[in-house]
Amino acid sequence: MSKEEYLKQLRRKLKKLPKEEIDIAVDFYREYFEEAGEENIEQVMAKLGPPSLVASQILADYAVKGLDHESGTTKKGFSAIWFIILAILAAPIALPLLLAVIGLVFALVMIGAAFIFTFFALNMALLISGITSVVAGFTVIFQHWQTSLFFIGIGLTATGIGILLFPSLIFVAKNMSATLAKWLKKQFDKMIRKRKGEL
Amino acid sequence: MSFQLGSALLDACVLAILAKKDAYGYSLTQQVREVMDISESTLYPVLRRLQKGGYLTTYDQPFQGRNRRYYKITASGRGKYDELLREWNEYKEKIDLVLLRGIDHE
Repeated sequence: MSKEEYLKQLRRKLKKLPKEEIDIAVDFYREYFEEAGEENIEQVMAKLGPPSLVASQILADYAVKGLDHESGTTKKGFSAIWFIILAILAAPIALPLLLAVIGLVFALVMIGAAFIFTFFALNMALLISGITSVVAGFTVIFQHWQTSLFFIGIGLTATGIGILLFPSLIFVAKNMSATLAKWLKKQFDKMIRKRKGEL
Repeated sequence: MSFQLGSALLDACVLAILAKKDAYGYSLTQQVREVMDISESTLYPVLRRLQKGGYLTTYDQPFQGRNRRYYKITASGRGKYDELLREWNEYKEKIDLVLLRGIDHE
């Protein structure tokens, strides 16, 4: 493989990144080859590994870059997970293993999403049933005030719990995706290191 | 090398080298590789991350008709380096305590 071919492949593997990021990365490796000298290009390629490996390291790092400095938002967390999936896709590993890994990541994301959704549904149920109960309580206020009070009380309690739970729900949703992305990056790094025969 | 090296240690090494002198990508990689067993493709993401964090800046210099991109440590990079150095020393002392105590305890 020629130097230009190598860089072209690298560029292709990075195409999901912002253009500026791709240019900077490709420039870096172009310079790297030039510094090593024309006669050592084969050697440098052997040391670097295939373009896909170089690309997957860049993608994996890009995924968590934004997560390290500030608390990750859900959107950020999910896009980070997406980049890690891309990194795994770019990594040169056998297809069956690749499918297993992707499946696992997907399952983890789904579990997370299901958990958040369940929590959210519970919260909504509390709010809606609470409000309904209060309304129902008011409708019978002139027929049987004890019943009315009972329903209004229950309703207010449920609504209250729902309102109290809401901020924690938002918090959990935000942090879960970021944590998951970070953990995946760690696993990914381990895998890459193992493959390169390093500890 | 049987000890894991985390990204913090790698960051610290890069910052330490640049705290002494600006360097371009290739020479920086070779310098880090002298002391650490990392693959050649490990360093670029590290440099990019440090640059995005504002710890490094880059400038270009022509060399033999081509371009060399030099990395330069910033003030906040120096701060980060001091902080990492402190943490490393604390960590090292604790580990040494355990590893060496095993010997002089006998």
